[in-house]
Amino acid sequence: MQKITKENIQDYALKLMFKMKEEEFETFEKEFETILKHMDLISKIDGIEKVEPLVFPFKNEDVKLRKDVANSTLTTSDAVKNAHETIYDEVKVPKVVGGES
Amino acid sequence: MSYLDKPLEEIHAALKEGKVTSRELTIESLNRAHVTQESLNSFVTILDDVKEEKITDDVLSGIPYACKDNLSTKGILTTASSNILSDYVPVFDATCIEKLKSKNAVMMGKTVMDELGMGGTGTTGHTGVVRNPWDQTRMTAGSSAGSAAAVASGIVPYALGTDTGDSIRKPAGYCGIVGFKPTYGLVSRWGLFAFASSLDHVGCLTKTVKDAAYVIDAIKGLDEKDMTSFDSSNIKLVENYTTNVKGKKLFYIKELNDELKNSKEYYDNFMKVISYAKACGMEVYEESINENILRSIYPAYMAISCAEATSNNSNLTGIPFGSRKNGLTPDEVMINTRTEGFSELIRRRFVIGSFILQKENQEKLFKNAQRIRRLIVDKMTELFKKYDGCIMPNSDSIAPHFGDVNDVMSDKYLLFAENLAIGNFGGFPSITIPSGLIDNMPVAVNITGAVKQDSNVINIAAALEEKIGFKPLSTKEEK
Repeated sequence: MQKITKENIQDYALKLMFKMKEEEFETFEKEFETILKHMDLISKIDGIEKVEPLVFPFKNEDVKLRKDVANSTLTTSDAVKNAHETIYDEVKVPKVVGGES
Repeated sequence: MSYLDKPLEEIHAALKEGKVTSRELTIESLNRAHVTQESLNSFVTILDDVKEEKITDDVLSGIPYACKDNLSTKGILTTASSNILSDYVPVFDATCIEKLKSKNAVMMGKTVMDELGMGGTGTTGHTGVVRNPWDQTRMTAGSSAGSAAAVASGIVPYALGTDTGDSIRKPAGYCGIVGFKPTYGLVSRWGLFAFASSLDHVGCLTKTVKDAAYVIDAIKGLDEKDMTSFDSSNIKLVENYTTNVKGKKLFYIKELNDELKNSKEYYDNFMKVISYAKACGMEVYEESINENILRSIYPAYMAISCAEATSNNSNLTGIPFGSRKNGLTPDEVMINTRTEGFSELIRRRFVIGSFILQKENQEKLFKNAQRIRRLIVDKMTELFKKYDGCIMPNSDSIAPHFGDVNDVMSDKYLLFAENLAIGNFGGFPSITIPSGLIDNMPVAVNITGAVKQDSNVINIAAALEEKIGFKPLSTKEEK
């Protein structure tokens, strides 16, 4: 398993598209240590590795695929209603290629 | 006593007889919200221009209610108490909101919660901490903090909440009200801002068990927009409501009870409720569950919920919606928005979730957490073949003072930190009711039952409620 360092915490944070602040690392490292300590307890439970992981509460017998008919839940104007900046019914963002817009 | 403080059936009867109007109830509710807002901070938004509704034969018609701020409400600010959504106005209603609208219920406000539902203290919302109406130096717990404070202080007879680990039931217990998280899928999650999809439930906070039955009956049902919902036309909580539970069988968990013996007053309170259960004609037995498995519920819950949350909240970028921060590139916009928009706690949880999901860590962390989930759910399901419900203390404390606890994970192997998450792991119906006072603060018990046996847990809770005779704060005080 990976080691927890300031560098890889910042690396994970950036992959998640945010930054951690310098003063936040201390709590962070402690919480990481705690969760790893707790998870160790789980590893020590007899036969744990043979148990099939449960990903969902229970099997839902009612699940049926809906008919393959195209429908729409959102109009274009609704879709952009909460965007910070729009142009021609589209969301405006800084230029992706070629420097400043 | 004002009609607003009465059980839903009595309010409805008064509305039908013309003793009070929907307008009067709504104005009174709004007034109470404003009067208590500074001291309790229950609301992100108070809907001052809300209109009364026509009274029909539906018990909820014309009666005001409050809604947690992570349920999508068309045209009404919905922030999930996070800076990143501080200006977000949804363009559609959550299914549960649609259903209440169709029954002429009157939504009067959106309640404060822990940011994005990812906290248990009621102190991490972007508009400030929620204070406990019983003692304002104490927290309500969370994340449905404002909903609990609004019901406990009598602003509304009921509020909607959501529950991923104990977010309805823990604050309900600390505030001396009823909190009900029904079977997973009984109420559609469409329009709920997802925290951990496999654990998230929509439910309610009320002053009586029967009121909870009315609210869940009103919002439940198969929803084609939520493929985890199911046809529940055979589950009729009000129609099957009874306090005659003679012959029902309950069990309590030995290991939790042993731990509670360290706190005599709490243990005595719990055993008194057990004696009430027996007096109602129920049989109560002790069952043992591997203590290491019980102690693993807390880290397993943290691992699963953080991992699912990391993925669920990746849509909060500030680009299509949300409070966008400036940047020279789209990446910079996202990074700046998410750095400023999420609090430290949320960013910490996301990084933990991401770490747990890394390929090299999955086996030991994520999958082991899911294995614990399997072990506890299988054990409870096996026990529910013999028993109608599990009764357990809702907590081993009264509501803590601010500063005494926070949302940093404890390094102790706690049995009571996430005992209620058993209900979320298995999607079991789970209800919390007040069981008395310690140091003039409410304590509570929880009844959890088998999947789709919601009527069973409601009726067991109703019988105990009758015996306990607890008076909610709002009905004790003169308004």
